[in-house]
Amino acid sequence: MLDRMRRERPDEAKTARVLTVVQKIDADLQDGLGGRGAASAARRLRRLLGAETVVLAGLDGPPVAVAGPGPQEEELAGLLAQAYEQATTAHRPPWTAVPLIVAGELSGALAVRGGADAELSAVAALVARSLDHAALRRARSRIAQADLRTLRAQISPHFLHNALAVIGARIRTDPDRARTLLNDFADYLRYSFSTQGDYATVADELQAVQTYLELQRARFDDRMELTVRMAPEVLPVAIPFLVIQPIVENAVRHGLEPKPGPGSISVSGFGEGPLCVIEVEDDGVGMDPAFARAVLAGERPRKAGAAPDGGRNGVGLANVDQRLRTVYGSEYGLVIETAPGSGTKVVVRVPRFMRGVVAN
Amino acid sequence: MSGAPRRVRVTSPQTRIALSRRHRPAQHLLPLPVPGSEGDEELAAARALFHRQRRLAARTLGALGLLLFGLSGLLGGLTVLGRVTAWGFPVSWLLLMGASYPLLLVIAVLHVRAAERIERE
Amino acid sequence: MTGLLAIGLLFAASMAIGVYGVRATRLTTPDFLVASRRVAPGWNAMAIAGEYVSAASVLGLAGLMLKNGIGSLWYAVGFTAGYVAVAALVAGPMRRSGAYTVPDFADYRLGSQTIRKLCAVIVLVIMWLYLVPQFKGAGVVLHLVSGTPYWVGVVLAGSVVTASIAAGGMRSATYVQGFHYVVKLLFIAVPAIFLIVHAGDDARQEALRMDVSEWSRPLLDLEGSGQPLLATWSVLLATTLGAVGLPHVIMRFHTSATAAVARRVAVGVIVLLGVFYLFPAVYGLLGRVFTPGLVRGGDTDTVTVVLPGEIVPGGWGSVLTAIVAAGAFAAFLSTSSGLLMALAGGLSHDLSRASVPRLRLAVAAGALVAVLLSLPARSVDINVAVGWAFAVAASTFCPLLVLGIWWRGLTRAGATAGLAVGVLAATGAALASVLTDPGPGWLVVLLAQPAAWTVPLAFMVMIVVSLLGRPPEWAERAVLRLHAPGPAAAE
Repeated sequence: MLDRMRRERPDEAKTARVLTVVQKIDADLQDGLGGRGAASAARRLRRLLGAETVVLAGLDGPPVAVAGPGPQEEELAGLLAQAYEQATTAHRPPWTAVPLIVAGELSGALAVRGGADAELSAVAALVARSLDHAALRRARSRIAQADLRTLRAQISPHFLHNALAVIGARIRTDPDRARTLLNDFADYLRYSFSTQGDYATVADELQAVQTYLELQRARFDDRMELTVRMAPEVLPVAIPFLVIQPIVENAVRHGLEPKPGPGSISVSGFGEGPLCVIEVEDDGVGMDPAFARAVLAGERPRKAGAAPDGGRNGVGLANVDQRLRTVYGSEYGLVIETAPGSGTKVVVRVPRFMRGVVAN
Repeated sequence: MSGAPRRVRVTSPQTRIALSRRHRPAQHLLPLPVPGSEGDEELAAARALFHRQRRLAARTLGALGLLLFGLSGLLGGLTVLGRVTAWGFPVSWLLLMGASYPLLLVIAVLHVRAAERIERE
Repeated sequence: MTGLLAIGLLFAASMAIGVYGVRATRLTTPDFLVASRRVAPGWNAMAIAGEYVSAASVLGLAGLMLKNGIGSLWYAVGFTAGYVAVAALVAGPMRRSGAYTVPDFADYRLGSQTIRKLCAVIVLVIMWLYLVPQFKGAGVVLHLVSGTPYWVGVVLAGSVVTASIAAGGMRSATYVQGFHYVVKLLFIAVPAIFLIVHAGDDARQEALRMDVSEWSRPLLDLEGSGQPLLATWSVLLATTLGAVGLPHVIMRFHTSATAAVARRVAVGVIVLLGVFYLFPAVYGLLGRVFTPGLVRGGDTDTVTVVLPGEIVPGGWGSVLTAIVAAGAFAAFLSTSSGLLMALAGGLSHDLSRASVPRLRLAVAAGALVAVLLSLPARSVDINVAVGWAFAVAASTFCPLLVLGIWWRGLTRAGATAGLAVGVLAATGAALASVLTDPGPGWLVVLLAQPAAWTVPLAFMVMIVVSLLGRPPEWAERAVLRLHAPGPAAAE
């Protein structure tokens, strides 16, 4: 009994070898049939099957990859046509062709000269699955990009309403100021509605912050003070669109608005080797750390005492955090330093250069 | 700030784990920049611009080489320049110390102006 | 003691600028950004010049001139000419790529993590070659002004730079480095003019005396090869093309708002360097008259600091010495903090796989290695060692950047092969020139300053290997984008 089990168990080293080859074929095909790895995949398949020739073919055009002595063109074309029409394995000794069906759709064929049939269909299924996997991988990154666009911060209705109300209140008493404010408002709208690109420079972002704050200051009757400290070398760094402004907006609405008396916000930016650091600090009412943690973890904020005006508190921050993580990776998420009554500091720390992150 | 509680550092759970991890995975979620999708006409224009800039850069580089190697060759070959003096300086020293910098500046300024002209057109 | 005091004051001032000096602006004056964008190009050019003018220029140039003759000024010409090449070839396109460092550019253009790592290793090689003479200069200057042993000066300098970076002294690098350019210029130029006036007519005549000796020959020579023209050309090639590939300088162009601004900044740097390089020559010329003893002692790199005391004895002399020493220290501080930042960036960001770049750790490690390498390097001429750093940059990053920007055919394989061949050939030759002495002739030149053959070799390897392969389809677009005037370019 024991003896039989041992005999049935295949050679361990051989299993490992086969599995490794399968993995490598999968890696070769990660860009699909048209990718760089197709030729290498064909070579590996030839070795795996012990075949004379292995051909990977797309639906039309010349074969994508040939390993081993090449076939006659007409011979191969006929074979492939037969396999495609019948959507089953086609035999024309010494050739065999198996159609590759990826996600239910015919997308190519694997043709082999001199190979065992049983192995062949299993291998074709494997190749099809690798191709499917490649397509999914591409889809996933497209989804990430689409997500990024949907997540792009949206202008808050709260701010829109307040800004218009402030301007309206000044039209009679101080028409000049009302006109400047209206200009600021137009600038702000143009920036936040602009659809070009997913990234902007730190300088552009600061411009948006500045116009936003001009409007807020009018509301606060100038009892809000802003300090900007920027090392010039971070101004041209490209970052995701509307990252700083929501942080500042959060500081104003949830840090300074509930606080009696004057308040101040400081925005500072500097280089830290290959990283660019931007800090937004306010001396407002602060947040309960547990609440901040919940917001960043994506949980719906409870209407507990920690969130004085409840509702949207922190949603802007969570959105910024998620976009930063999507673009730069998890280690570059927001860092919030806060405690009730101690103000809040939000730190954005991102690489100065990231492949693909280019302003406009 | 007196009496107020100390601030606490908070991050999202993903960031916390990523920061405490010893190694970072070399994966990137977003797709890498795909080649632009501009039409053939724009592509041709970009190519033409590139070739003009390349010719300009080659010319500037040629001028720079001529200045550096020419001046040093001249000073090495014409030893007579060392015996003539102007304003108390041996002419060869004057050429080495005084003449090279303004000429370098001229080459650079001409290049920048030409490059900007090409970009404006 | 005055010297130490001056150095201490300078250090405190640059720390203050580094940590707090980012211009604090209230938003009540609404156009902070407009103002800062207008100011930035000037500061940017000064910062580049400040980071670039190192101990090699402040101490080494006058020292080498005293030792080897007027021809040493070709180094200065090459250092400056490099920015013509930068303006013409690299500044604009590099800015458009968005890349901050050379490894970033390799990533942008070739999309390969392997080449990124290879580039980071080369960054380390260049930075260490460049740091050693800086630390040597600091050790020598501290020895002169306070009498401490050489090694104490080197260790002290290493700790000071590390501490200043760790405390945030490079947070606003642009302002710190710009400040240092002004300090260097003033602290070298003002004493120089003072010395010219005080030297007296006879000495001035004597300094400008042209004789038949090799000293007066307007070409430079290396290790007595007897091949001055070849040596001059090799040095010119190394310094000019080396400036194109110096990693710590290239990253400063990232500060420019647009590619057009970056190009103009490079032109500004030429002006700033041209002005500065007039003054080291003064120390060299006067040193020949007043301090010929240094040549026999072998400590020619100290001439800039020794000279004021020789010409103006007494109190004023020691004040001048202190000023010059502070200028030399500024050169050391700005260049080596720039170098260490670039080195630490490569070490922590590109080479380490730790999740958060440990910048401070990397700075400390980089400084430690540099100090250890500098301790036995007292007899190496500052300019010669800096020349090697330039040679390595010229035979690695210069071809990578130039071909990457101007030729779509560059492939990963080509870049890898060219970088590897360039770095091995250039460092190998420098090493060989330290270890062997092939006697007079062209061979000694080709070892002491290998750029004449390593640069063409690296270009050839990159081109030939690239031609054997096929660049990816997106390569052309990646190249074209480097030259496309964006909407912002019209500014």
